[in-house]
Amino acid sequence: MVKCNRPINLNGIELRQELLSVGIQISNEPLAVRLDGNNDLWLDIAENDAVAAKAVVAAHNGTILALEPTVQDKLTLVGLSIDDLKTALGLGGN
Amino acid sequence: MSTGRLGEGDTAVQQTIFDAKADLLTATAADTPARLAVGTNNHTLIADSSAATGLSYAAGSKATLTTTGDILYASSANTPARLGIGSSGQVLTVSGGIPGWATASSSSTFAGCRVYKSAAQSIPNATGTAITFNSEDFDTDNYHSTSTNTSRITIPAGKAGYYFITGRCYFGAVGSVKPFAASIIKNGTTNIGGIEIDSSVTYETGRQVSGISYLSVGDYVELYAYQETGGNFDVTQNNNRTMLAVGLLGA
Repeated sequence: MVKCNRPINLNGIELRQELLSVGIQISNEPLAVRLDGNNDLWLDIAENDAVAAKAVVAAHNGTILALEPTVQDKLTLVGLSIDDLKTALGLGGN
Repeated sequence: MSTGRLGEGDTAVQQTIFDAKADLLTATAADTPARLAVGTNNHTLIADSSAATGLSYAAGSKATLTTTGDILYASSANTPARLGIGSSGQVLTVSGGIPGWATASSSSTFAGCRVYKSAAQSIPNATGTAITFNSEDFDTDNYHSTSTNTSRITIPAGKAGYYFITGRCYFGAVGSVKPFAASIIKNGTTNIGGIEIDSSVTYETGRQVSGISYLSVGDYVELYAYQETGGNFDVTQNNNRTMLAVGLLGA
């Protein structure tokens, strides 16, 4: 594991792609890119890739997508609830 | 053995050597008879080269054991001593190199802790993130601190053993099916247990993980959360939501 400074805008999928683009192999396992309890970033890569990886991390500015509205959010916009929807579909409410 | 009268000049033990009941006839040297007076009741006769007669009376087991339930032990070399019976329920232990009675420790004594979040924590997209815990439900032996290394439950001195470990990451509802995961990690490296399941689009998403592991003093466990919503996403707070707990099963 290689320790790096955490970029402000961190997107693990994009960071993996950026590392791969410079030839640094990194797993898609959930913990191959991780933040520890002190908010330090750790990468599961070879030690001899550390210098190049830190440069990639320093330049990383990940896309932070806006969250897609939930079903509840969408229903609320039209004045309905999930229970309303269940009742309308004959599924019964709470 | 011959019998008959003693001749003149013959040497014989005279009956006057005995002065009291239970006197014994012994010798202080070759051809030197001597009287040994009886010892204390219940004392036993032992060979004793330091005594003039080579014999002496000393307290043996019968003299030492005076009461029902007494136990005989040596308080030092060749020194018998009595340990009186303990109280009901007490167990025999060793203290200072000698046996003694002590109250048995209860086998139901629990050791462990349970910690949770009282504030949400943002998890970056596709990044395993250690959950920090700022609240404790219980903590019997200072396993956890709410001020330093708050993501860790660390095994304190005297509490090594096999632990049941369980953790839960609780996320809010999402608008489409996305992967969510949780893992328990030992010492920052070893995955004790993990689960990754796609979310529901209607309900909040909880990920419960558990495992049993031997934890030595100083070992620590953490709960990691993971999500792929595309943006930052919170694990939610409250005692019954995102939490981590350990319980000592046995050494």
